[in-house]
Amino acid sequence: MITVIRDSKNNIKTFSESTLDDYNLVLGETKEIVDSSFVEYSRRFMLQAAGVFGQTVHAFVGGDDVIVGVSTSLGMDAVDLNINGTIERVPLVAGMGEIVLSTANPGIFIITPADRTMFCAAGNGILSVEVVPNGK
Amino acid sequence: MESKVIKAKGKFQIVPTSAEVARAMAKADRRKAETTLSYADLMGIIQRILDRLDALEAG
Repeated sequence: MITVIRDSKNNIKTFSESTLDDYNLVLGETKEIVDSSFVEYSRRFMLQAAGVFGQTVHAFVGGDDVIVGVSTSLGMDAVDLNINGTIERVPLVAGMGEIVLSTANPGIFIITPADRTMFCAAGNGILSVEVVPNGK
Repeated sequence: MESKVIKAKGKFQIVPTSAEVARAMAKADRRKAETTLSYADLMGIIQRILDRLDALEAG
């Protein structure tokens, strides 16, 4: 069993194996108990680049494109991603899909699930990709 | 602040702000400033300095 905490907009804020008490909630938050394991629940939505989950990935300007993989265990045909506020529908094959990030310009890509009432944008559910100048 | 992105040729690409463009041109501007500048060059350099100052104050 895990505990899922939702914010006042019903977005999934976090989830935990602990049975959290009500004093763990701030105003407007709610909790629900889900019959799942932590690992199983985290696989509902995962983002990775070069096999790295839940951490900032670095790339150099002018270097290789960054391939971001998305996967879900929910048996969906497509999933919507939020890339710095731009929503992109990504088709899934066997629960997996991908997007390509260009390294033409420096900056930070922040990728999260577009529907945060369905998926948690924390841990393996969020990925930052920083494109940094190569110093040349 | 989150950078704006666009999708072009199947790839997501960061749209640089005017300050980021100015920063990328800073070295070239510094070299150019050591020569005799045309009015257009001068206006361009001043604009980029102002863009960077605005970003600095907003940061």
